[in-house]
Amino acid sequence: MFKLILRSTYKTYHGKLGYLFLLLLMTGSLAHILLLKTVWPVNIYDPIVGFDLSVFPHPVTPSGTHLLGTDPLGRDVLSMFLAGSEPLIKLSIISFITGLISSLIVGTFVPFLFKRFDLLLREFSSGLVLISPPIVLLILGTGDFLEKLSPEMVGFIYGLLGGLGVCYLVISTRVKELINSEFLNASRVIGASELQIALKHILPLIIPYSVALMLSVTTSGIVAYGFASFFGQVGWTPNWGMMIYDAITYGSYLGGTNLWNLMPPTFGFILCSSSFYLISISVKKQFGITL
Amino acid sequence: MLKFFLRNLFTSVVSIFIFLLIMFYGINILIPGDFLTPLRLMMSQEELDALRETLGANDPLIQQYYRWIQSVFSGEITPGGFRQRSSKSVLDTVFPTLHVLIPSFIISIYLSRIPALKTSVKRLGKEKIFSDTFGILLISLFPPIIYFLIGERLENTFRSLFDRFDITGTSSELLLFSEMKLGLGFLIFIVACSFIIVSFFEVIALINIPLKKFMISASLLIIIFLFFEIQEVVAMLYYSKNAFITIGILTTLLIGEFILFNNIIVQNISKEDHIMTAAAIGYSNHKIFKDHIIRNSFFPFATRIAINLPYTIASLVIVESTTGWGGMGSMLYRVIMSQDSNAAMAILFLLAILTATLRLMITFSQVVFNPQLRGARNV
Repeated sequence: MFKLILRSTYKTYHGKLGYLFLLLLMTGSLAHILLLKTVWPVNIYDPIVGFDLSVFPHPVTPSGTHLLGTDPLGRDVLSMFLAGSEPLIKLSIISFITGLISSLIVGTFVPFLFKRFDLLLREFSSGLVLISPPIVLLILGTGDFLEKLSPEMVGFIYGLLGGLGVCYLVISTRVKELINSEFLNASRVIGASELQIALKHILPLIIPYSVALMLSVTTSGIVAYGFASFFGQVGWTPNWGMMIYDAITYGSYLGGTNLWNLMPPTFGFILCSSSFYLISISVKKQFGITL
Repeated sequence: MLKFFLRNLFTSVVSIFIFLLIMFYGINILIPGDFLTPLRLMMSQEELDALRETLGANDPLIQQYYRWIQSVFSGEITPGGFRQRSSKSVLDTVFPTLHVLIPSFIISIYLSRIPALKTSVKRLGKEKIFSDTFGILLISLFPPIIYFLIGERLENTFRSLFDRFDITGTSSELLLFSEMKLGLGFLIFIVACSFIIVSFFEVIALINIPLKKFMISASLLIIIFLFFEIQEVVAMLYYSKNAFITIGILTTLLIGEFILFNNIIVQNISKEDHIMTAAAIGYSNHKIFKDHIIRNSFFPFATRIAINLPYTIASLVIVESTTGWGGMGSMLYRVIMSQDSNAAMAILFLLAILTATLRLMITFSQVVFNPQLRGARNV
């Protein structure tokens, strides 16, 4: 099923563009690791503590040594930009997988096999839907949890909130629509157990829904992580939110806020969120999901 | 209908309390300290411990949650809070929040339709890759960046207007806008301004001459001039500077979101038979869009807005914190940062009520106005 989704989404313009953006981000992330190990001296190009003593005052405009210039704290903007894609790729993938697995497991079995428990879980999901993930990140980042708030952890929390929240509500509604369909009754007549029906008939039909929804949710996760990182709520990792914060806050004291400091992280966020959203549109289009 | 209404109301109340229970545990476990922590600068540790004991801050969390719910029902949403974080100060953020939220919704709903209105009916059912990417671009734009790009320009424009027309105000006057009369008056004023802005953009985009919108805004402005004194109107104009900066940023984010909604909805509707029939008969683009697409797109659009409300609220927190607007969003950010868990719960409670009320309104309007749904409920 996943192979089919991958193949069919690749056929649309949205899908192609989405995969291209994702590929660009992954390439950027790998290029950063390679460049730091081979060409770039760590003391100058480290995305957090790097500082170029040979040029002054910072920030400097784009040049041969610093292709995208430096920020007010003297760090190379290109290095920060490339390093910032890694946490978001990790977060997106973990959020997508967590949400997909949780929504598929709970969404397939609970409304079909444990109908009474479904009512309770729907109420719980409706409560979860009210929880706004950026606010959760804000709360988590305030406490002792800050050090543990890695992109993987944020992705996991976000995936759970999305998978058991909005994704479960949609999937359980879809499963309820399917429960009395003729092909399921036919399977029952020829002796298929409820578990077999759930695994062989229900699951494949709800996978595209879950994939499309979780891709959209992941887009919101990327934006939410950006907000949290802007407020310094996600620990000490190189990220685009922090780049924007530093450019605006320190820029106002040191040499002014410059567009070349702000454009790369903004472009990065757009690239990252577009990639997942475009793939999500492609899944919806190819599988006739009108959500 | 009544049964449906009561069932939905009950479900919403249950959802709110489940949400509050999760948030209560989350806030009290994850944020270090408690609602008395902000007092540490004014009191000694012994005094704080004694106060903690008296107010039951050391009790098990479930007991504290029960006590909090009890106090909510008796009208006090920040029990054990102190003067700075009393219920009044939290409730004072309601009007400022509505002052930016409602106009942002009005402007972005209308403006997000413009790309679709300018597309020919034949192309509506096709992929809109540029429009989708543009929508995502707006969503991904960071509020501080939008503030950086438009904030200063807007501020300068307002300043020059204020200088020209001699409009002045003080910060003490601004506080009055959280009160009922002035708060309501400003809401009417800003809604009127929103319709004027929408009309302006519709005229520029050569869509139509929006007579109805002009009439609505004119009548709302007449209400303001009839029921408010001239000093109050001047104060409203002065207050509108910060409001419009916040609205501008929030609207940019919402327009992106709504363009994406519109693209999907319009694409689905434009494939329906009645649209093809209307096109075959030879109806104009504008007529098909106005009479067939917009009307049918209202409910799917409203449903999507309802689903996305928590994210809209999150955007509100970020935008208000960026511009320093005194609504629920910036207050929530401040109280979380100052570890005031009780005030945070109070704001989350208000935000949950706001979200649930908007959702209920959307659901009921769907049932009342959509004959298909009404028929299904009756069956």
